[in-house]
Amino acid sequence: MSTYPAIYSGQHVTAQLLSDMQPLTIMATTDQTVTNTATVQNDTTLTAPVSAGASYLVEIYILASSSSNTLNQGFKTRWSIPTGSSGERARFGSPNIAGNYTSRVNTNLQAAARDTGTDTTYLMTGDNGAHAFFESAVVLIGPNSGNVVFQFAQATAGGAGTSVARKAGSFMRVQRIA
Amino acid sequence: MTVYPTWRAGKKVSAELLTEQQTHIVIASSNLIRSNTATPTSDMALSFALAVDARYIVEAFIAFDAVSTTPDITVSWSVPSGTTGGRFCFGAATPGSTFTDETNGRVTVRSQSIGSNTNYTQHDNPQSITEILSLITSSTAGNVVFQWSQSTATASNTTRLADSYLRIERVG
Repeated sequence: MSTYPAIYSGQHVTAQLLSDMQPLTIMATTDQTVTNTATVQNDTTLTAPVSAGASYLVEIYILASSSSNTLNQGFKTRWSIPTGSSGERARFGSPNIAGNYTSRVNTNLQAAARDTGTDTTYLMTGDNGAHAFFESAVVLIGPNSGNVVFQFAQATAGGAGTSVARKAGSFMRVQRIA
Repeated sequence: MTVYPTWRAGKKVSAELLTEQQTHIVIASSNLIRSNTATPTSDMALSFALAVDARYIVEAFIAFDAVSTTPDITVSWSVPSGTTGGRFCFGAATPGSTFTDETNGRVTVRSQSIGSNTNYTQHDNPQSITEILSLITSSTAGNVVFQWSQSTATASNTTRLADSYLRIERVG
């Protein structure tokens, strides 16, 4: 069991202590679009500072859409974490195998685990609105402070004018656990 | 980037602030049975009061049962006027899909506007739905309320099971 911060009998209740008990939530209020590239880009909103030597539970709820109506247009994700850090990332959403995906309301499920730096692709189409994906990981921060950053791109560059978007309403919840 | 409440040196630690920092769980203590309706209406056992100009994460873990595969389930949400945000819908695939049963079926992984109807295939055994809302309230206070009905009105009962629950966290 991991609880942070540790609270001892006689310890002063400080603003820092109370703040350390709170999860940090980052809510995207605008869309972010990535156009015609399969190279993941930093999400400019879904990023959170982390401290060297600490551990965090990070949950990211993603609403995503595509400009393309082509069936199996993919949404690629990855996390950037400080050098020397590690984490195993669970992911739930539409599959990445063509033929097992029909639409966002009728699809096989992807329920896989990969490390934070490995690309994940969720298949989707652009003709029927946004998709919902969920990723989470316990991230052990190494000797370097920095940020946990959600990253995304098209699975395959779709050509001029095509894009994928991380939609408003997506959010990231980060709780320090050690 | 938000936390709520914001603590600073010298701030008075009050019961109200500590309560607002807590995660709130709303548990339905009894079953709710509906039949002969395809219009979602409020399930007041799964309701929570929201403050004005605030931010919340609301997670709903809902269990249903039905004696027939016919009616399926439609769910929606009521929120105070002016509230914006996102809605994540995870559960059985839409009616008419290749959903076979609650232990081996295709799924929905969609976003939906908060007040729109979302349909899930309902089998004739208990099954679950998870929906998550990220909410930003405006100048109107009110409740977030889970709503549901059968997708196809039938005389056979559909039951929202006891111990379904909401988890509400104020984050701003």
